[in-house]
Amino acid sequence: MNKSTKQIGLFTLLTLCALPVCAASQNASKAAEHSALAAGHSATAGAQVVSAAVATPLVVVGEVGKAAGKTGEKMMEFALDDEPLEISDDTIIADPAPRQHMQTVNDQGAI
Amino acid sequence: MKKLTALLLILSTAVLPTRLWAGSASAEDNQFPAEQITAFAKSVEHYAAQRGARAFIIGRIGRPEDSLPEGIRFTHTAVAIYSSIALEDGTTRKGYAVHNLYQKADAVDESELVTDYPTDFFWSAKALKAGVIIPSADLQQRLISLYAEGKAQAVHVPSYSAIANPFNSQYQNCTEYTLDVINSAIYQTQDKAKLKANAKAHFKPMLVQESPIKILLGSVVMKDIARDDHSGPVATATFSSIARYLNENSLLKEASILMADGQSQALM
Repeated sequence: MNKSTKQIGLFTLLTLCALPVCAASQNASKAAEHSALAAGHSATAGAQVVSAAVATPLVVVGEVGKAAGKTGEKMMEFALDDEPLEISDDTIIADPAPRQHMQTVNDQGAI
Repeated sequence: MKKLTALLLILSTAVLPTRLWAGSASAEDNQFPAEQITAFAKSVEHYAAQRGARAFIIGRIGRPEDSLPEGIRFTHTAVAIYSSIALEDGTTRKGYAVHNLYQKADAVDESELVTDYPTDFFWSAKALKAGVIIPSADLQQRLISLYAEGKAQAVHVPSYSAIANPFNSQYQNCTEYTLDVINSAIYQTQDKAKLKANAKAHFKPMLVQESPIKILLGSVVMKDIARDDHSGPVATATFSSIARYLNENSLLKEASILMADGQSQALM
């Protein structure tokens, strides 16, 4: 590899490292996250780390059938005010993706 | 030929660090201690909950702040919905569930929809700062309906590009997906052609401030960078451009940046 090739390569490396991958959003591996949290690192005394099974949007039905929009379609009216909402003290986390979960279980020899 | 081979080798090697810079941080390389992350995530929940936000747009910084391109404040955007969260033990908790579009780990040019929670969301953050966009009450209402009825999935485009053009459905990234969900809620449709026509008419994406050569090189060597959905200068949806869009259309209640010390500042 001569000097000019090295220079081109270095330039390319530097320019690519600065590429505007501005919206990149890869899913993080959850295995280490679960390990770290399971080790007892919870944020608040008394709070626990718990795994979620499913989340359901909290819909508070109030005045039903209020017309909305130009087409006059009907939609539910929820109780949307500025009242503070209740938040659990527990640290809720998602389980790892199935493949990672299976790998973790296999590594631990549980299956 | 040797020169070409060497160059290609270097180009290939360059892809790996680029991906790491792109916010693909795995849980193994979380930058902050677990207790800091959980405390920060909980503070973001409380911040939104104190303002009565049942649905809000949430942003995180997934790469070092000093390497962010000009004008980019957050690298990942999603929608947080106040939810009843059923746990594995059968009990329930109240908090926010975060509805994300994530790149697939084993196929970076594809994406999947994943629901996680604030601690998961901030686990790989490179700075403990959160973007919080609270829409107007009526838009929150429509967003909640969209998720409650399972309609948000209908606007997902699995082909991924980090610099996706928000005016067509060839590729989609996390921020464009968020924009499409918002527009689906506003216009009460999941018709992608209608959503794109409305985005083109009313939404102003951010021009990517990088040289065309860098972008071209990236699109050649990186699977998750595509250029063929853009006909002119590369512009894409960003967290801030969504805030401006809502503000210009009187659909914004608040747009803030929340810091780890509990302080907040206006996004715009």
